Amino acid sequence: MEIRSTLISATLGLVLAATIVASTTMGFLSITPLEVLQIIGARLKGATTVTGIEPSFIFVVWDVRLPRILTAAVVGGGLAVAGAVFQGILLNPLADPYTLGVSSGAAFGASLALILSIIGISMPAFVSVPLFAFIGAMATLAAVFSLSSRDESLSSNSLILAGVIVAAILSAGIGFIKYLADEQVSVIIFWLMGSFVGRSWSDVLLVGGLTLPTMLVIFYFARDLNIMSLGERTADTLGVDSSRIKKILLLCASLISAVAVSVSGVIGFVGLIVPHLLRAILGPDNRTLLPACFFGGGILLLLADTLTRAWLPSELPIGILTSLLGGPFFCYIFRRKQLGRSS
Amino acid sequence: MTATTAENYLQLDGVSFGYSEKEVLSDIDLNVRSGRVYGLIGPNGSGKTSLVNLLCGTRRPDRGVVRLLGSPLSAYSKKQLARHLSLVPQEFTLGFDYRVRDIVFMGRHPHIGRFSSPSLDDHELVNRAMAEMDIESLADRPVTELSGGEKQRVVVARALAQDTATMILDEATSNLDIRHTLEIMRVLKKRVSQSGLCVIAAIHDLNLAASFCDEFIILKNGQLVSCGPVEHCLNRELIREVFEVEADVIVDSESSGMRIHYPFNRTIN
Repeated sequence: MEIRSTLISATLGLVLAATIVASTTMGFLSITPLEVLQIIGARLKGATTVTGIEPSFIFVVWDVRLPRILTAAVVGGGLAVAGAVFQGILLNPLADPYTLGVSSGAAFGASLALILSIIGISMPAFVSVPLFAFIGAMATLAAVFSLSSRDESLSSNSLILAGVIVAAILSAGIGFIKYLADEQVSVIIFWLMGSFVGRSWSDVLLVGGLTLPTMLVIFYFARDLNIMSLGERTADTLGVDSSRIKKILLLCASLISAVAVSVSGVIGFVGLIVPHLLRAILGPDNRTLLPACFFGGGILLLLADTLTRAWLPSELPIGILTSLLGGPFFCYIFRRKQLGRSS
Repeated sequence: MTATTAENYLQLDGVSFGYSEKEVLSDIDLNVRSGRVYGLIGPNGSGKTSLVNLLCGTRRPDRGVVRLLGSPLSAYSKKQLARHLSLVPQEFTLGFDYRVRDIVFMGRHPHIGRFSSPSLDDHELVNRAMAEMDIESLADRPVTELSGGEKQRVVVARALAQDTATMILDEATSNLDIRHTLEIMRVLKKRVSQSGLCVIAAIHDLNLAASFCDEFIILKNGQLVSCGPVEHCLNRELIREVFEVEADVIVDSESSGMRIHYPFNRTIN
């Protein structure tokens, strides 16, 4: 079990590393993999020039491409792990950060930050947008918890229902903010569509610094999450404090989702597709599945971002791309789940 | 085996329990000893499920105290409690397609430290439980593909692998056909006589309960009506009082087993 799980994680980790290097070579300037590795090695040692490589290449690799690529990889990985956790807790293969309204909350917070700056209450956008997105996500989670708290054990149905209700109110709120923004609505719309354009090292630090430690907390409870799939009552008699662990894991997964939304806008379906595909291949054991989701989500979102950045004639917002690809997939799972139930 | 021969293995002292305004169990006193099979009997809504929940510690009493080996259940952590008590529920739902062996292995969860791997003992107990429930051939099948009877055997095997001194069955066999029901009861009976397992089973079918159990715990409207050996408790008057039906209780002279017959042409006035 452990050997297989380590092997899978190591393999996927290597694939992710290779994807990072490969996508760094691609773009308007063609740079070889060897040059990329030389530049990364040199910059990690603190050198600012590399003999035989043009300084503009170093700038492009280190200051333009890598921050964007690493942000995309961590966001993709984080969204996939968050999705796997939501699915594991809600015992629903269709759950992801959207189901609980967490993403809508983050989007509402970010829209609010943008409208405030449009109407003149200005804060530096790189502080206010992530901060508001985070507050929005956490406030939504608190609202969803308190709506379903009459139900002592936080049952999946009442959580999902509360999430849907709150998300519906929030999207009306986002619509109102768009209406207020009037002619400058494009700023909000573009942000809501999701994009990694122009991400910097400070974004990498923000998203990595919050996502990676939170993910360790999630991995710590992986075995409990397995047991919780037997249902709360049985899990409790197997020594798992399911309502406490449920709260911790929902909090962690929401934090990761909020951070992801705050640096990259709304990117749907990664949290749904990646855990679903990997579960079909690797089985449902969260001790293997969760680390694999991190690497798999990173690979998928990075490939999608590289597609729009380097291959498409003009850059398409990544959120639109993932939804165009993910939407039909969502329909397919939904259909299969319904067929499975009726048979 | 952690079984103890101590009397009063599980003990309820003046236990009451309710949801918001409505009291579901009132003032229950009860002693449960190891090495016996207890049948939890009563009509729908008599408080059986609430009593099961109190016994396995998933609910706390409003008044009174539930004791395990002399200490209140609240003094045990969930993990400690899970080493003493296991539950076989009636409903078994799984959102994900774990393999049968994975599910049975989950029974070892309270015994395996967070960062340790399963020991040889753990594997041994899992294999033994699967052999007893005759599900070895299903070990690598996804549990979502099994029939109802197979699934329930997996759940009982999981509880057996948990290797607790007490096992609580909440209508665990009511969706099964008679062959699978008897198979499960035969295995549990064997554990009771061999290793002093204590079984507390909520059962609807009185005939089945009479042949499986040593003692009855009989509830009606949240009150403990009667408690003791089956042959003392079970009679026509009690069935009339508790279930409000007419029945003949027939004692088989050869096996001294008891049988309940429900005549259809007589009704209660």
